[in-house]
Amino acid sequence: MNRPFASVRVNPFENDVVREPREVSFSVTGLNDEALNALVGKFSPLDADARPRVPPAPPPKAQLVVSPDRGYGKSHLLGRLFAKLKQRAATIYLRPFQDPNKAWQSILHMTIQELMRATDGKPPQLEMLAVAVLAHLGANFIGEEGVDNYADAARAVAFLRELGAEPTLAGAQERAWIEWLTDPETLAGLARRLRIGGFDLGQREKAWVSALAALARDERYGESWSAAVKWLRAEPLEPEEAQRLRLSQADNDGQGDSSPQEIDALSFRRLQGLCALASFHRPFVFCFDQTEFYVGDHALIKALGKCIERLYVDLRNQLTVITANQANWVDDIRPHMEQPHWARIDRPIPLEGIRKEGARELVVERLRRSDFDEQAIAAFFTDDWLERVFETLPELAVRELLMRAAERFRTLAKRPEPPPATIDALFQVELAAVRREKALQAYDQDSLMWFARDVGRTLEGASVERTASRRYFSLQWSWPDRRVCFAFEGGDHWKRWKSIAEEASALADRGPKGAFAAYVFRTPDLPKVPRPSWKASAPALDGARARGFRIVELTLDRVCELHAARELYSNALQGNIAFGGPETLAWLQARFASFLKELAGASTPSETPTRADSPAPDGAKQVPAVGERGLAPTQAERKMAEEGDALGPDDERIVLALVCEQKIVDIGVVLDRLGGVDRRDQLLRWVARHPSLKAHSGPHNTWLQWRIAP
Amino acid sequence: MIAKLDTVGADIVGAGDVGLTLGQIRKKFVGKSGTKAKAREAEMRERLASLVREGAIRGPFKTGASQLYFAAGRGPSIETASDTVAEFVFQSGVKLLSKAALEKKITGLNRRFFADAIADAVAKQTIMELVQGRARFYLHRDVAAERFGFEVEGPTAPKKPALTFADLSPVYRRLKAEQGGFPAVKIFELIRALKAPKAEVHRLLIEEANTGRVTIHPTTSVELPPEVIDAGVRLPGFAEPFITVVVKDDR
Repeated sequence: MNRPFASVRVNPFENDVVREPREVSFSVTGLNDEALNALVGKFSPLDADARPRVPPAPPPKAQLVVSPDRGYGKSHLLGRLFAKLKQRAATIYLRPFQDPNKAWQSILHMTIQELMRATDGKPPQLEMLAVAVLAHLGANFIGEEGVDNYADAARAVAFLRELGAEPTLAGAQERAWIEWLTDPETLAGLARRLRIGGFDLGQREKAWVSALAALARDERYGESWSAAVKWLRAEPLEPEEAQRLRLSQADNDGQGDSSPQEIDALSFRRLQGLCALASFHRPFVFCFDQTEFYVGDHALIKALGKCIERLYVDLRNQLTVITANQANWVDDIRPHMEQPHWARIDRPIPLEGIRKEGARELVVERLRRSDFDEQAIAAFFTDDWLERVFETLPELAVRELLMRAAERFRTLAKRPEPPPATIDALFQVELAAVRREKALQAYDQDSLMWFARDVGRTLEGASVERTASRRYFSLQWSWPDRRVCFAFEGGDHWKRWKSIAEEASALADRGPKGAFAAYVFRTPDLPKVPRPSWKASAPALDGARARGFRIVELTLDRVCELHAARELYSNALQGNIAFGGPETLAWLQARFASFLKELAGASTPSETPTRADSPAPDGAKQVPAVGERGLAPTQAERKMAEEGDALGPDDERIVLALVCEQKIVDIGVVLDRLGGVDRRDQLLRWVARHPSLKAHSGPHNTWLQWRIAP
Repeated sequence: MIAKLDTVGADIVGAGDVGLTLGQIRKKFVGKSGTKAKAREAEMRERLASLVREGAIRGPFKTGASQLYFAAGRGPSIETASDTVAEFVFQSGVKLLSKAALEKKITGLNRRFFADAIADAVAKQTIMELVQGRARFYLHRDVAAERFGFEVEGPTAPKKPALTFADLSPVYRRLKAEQGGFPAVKIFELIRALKAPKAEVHRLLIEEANTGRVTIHPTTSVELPPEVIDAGVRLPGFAEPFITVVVKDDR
């Protein structure tokens, strides 16, 4: 009877934390349905009317989902909500922001990133939104203004309404219509319809339709498409980019030398515009998860409160959902929020534990997924195992049940209990998860700021503080004899970088005496800066460089490590791992000690870090030029990078045959067959995209599994 | 200045056993009559009704021309009315009080609980019901014991009746309302509010958890004071103490 259990290498119950809500694929019948239905019930009025909804739908109060403790399924519930509203809402998963002065910028960037995800073989939500808006506006335009010498108006309106309802450009007819809709002359009419229609876009109707037209018409990552995304992200556009979108000077409203408040205000207006335009497509669902991260940082909590307030008051067509462990929220977060802000939150929606019937369903499902037959499943439940689990209490946290099931599995497999996972092993699990998901490797100013602020706190003798009064260098490490400042900028506008350099020089000249360094982190997915063509900003950049200003080009490995570190810390704060927040932070500080030391040590301008991920000694001058677009990755480069994830037909066949035959295989075995461990990340990324394969990263090893029911 | 309605629940909780009259609430949250007063009054009444539906407050209780609201677990109840009934019956001694006469003595907000209070006092054997024809009279147990020279149960300390779900429920509701409607209430707070021994509260919670009327939970994501941890329930087979309780279906 023990054979089937002993022969399976991966314990089906060890994965007891939801890391990514969109991966949720199973839920126990009835468990937390009340909470889910409450959320869906609050959402439903937002998409009740026919598109376009005029006036845009006012939002309900923010919905707060509270868990009595860890492991009751907050992120799982979000996953179920996302699945339930897949065809009805643009669902946005928001990790905690770190800069209280740029909360909206962070939310906007996360929103755009989420909208750019392609799901279920459909175009990204951003492109569908663009097509839907243009199609409905086109229908309004033809129906209400008419087109000269065009007799087919009624059929055209009906067709465009259909296209607006299902905004994919599958056929030639749809693409022909998009050509017409994105013609400059038509766009002027569409902008007019938008203005007349009562959508408050702050006099930027023309810019909005132009940006949407570029998203609908241009190739993904094409020049106009990229410029439109940049405009949506509230970044300033270079003149040639603005020209591509046919934007007037006023419409290119992201200023290179904006203050954090101006950047945040513009980001908010963009978000407001996106929400208003959701009247033509799907309402938004903004989900603030991992709120434990805000604990202890009163400035962040206040900023979160303000965001919740403005979401309710100023943004239409959206539902805000917040998740929290009750103890964190009641004891540590709410007391530091302004009363008018938390008054915008509805009464809490509680989560419940699992009972015996649900537990049986969950255990059976996990066993079936691991290819156990009915006999083995029956063996699992012998000796009144389930009755004994619930004999003390009839309701348990789901994670508690999974831990007991994992223990039962080990007993049946006659496998000794593994030693407790070390924190290093848990870090490796997070690292593997980040490495196999490209979306998690993108520039994330919140992760970088968290690293510099929280992990940087350990530096001996240093005081680490936010500096709200500055434009860009919002964080500073200070010692009596030296300072290191950090700015967080993902854009590539020359004027913005000139301003950053000027501020760095000013800080070096005007601050207290002593050594000085000023850093801006860049990640590999961002366009390289400065560009060789930036003649006007070169003196400012050179001057700043001479005073200690550096652009720190992080390697992909380092980016993955930093993002994994933040996930690990977040898990610790949520109680998802056996290590607490301070303990985890202390470990991370030791883990990154040499990197921190390099950054701190480099504060004497003559000492420059020498690692590959450290700033180049003379920065931009060493950066090679790549084409007219500056150093932003081109469409071809992006395609090549995506193709780089493919293994090649022969190797793919080898992996599929091996995993299909053995059902579950150590990744080391597969890499041996492929000829080298250096292909590990490439293999994991390919596996992540393959419907029949799944990678399990455990604290001790990684396994590839053949999925029975993908 | 007109206060925001969001604090009305907290104000009623703060008023304790005295409660707040509708007039007091109106004065604070609606203000003087004016063009907007009507809308504010409607909003206030809707808010009060909603709090009553949620179980955070009780009311309105009519007393004279006033209408009173109390926090859950506060103000008049069967227990307070029962104590008053027993006191009147005791004071009356052997001059028996009829039910009708007794009812006249029970005034104010306890009046509405009169029938239940009689039943409660009789059930607790504090008073005894005597019947003549259709009339009912009441005699206090201590008066009877004295007259008949019954052996009084010595100087042993009075035994408190075992804690029940009925004791727990109103206190839980009050604590839940005080923390803004969040359902998980600390067992530490519950013990303090019930003024009952820890072991007795633990016994009740474990019993009720087994029947499914309450659930108990650890709290692992925050640092807790030692006294809060100490007040938690420890169960064999569970590494962490259970720190909070949720009464199911308490909306």
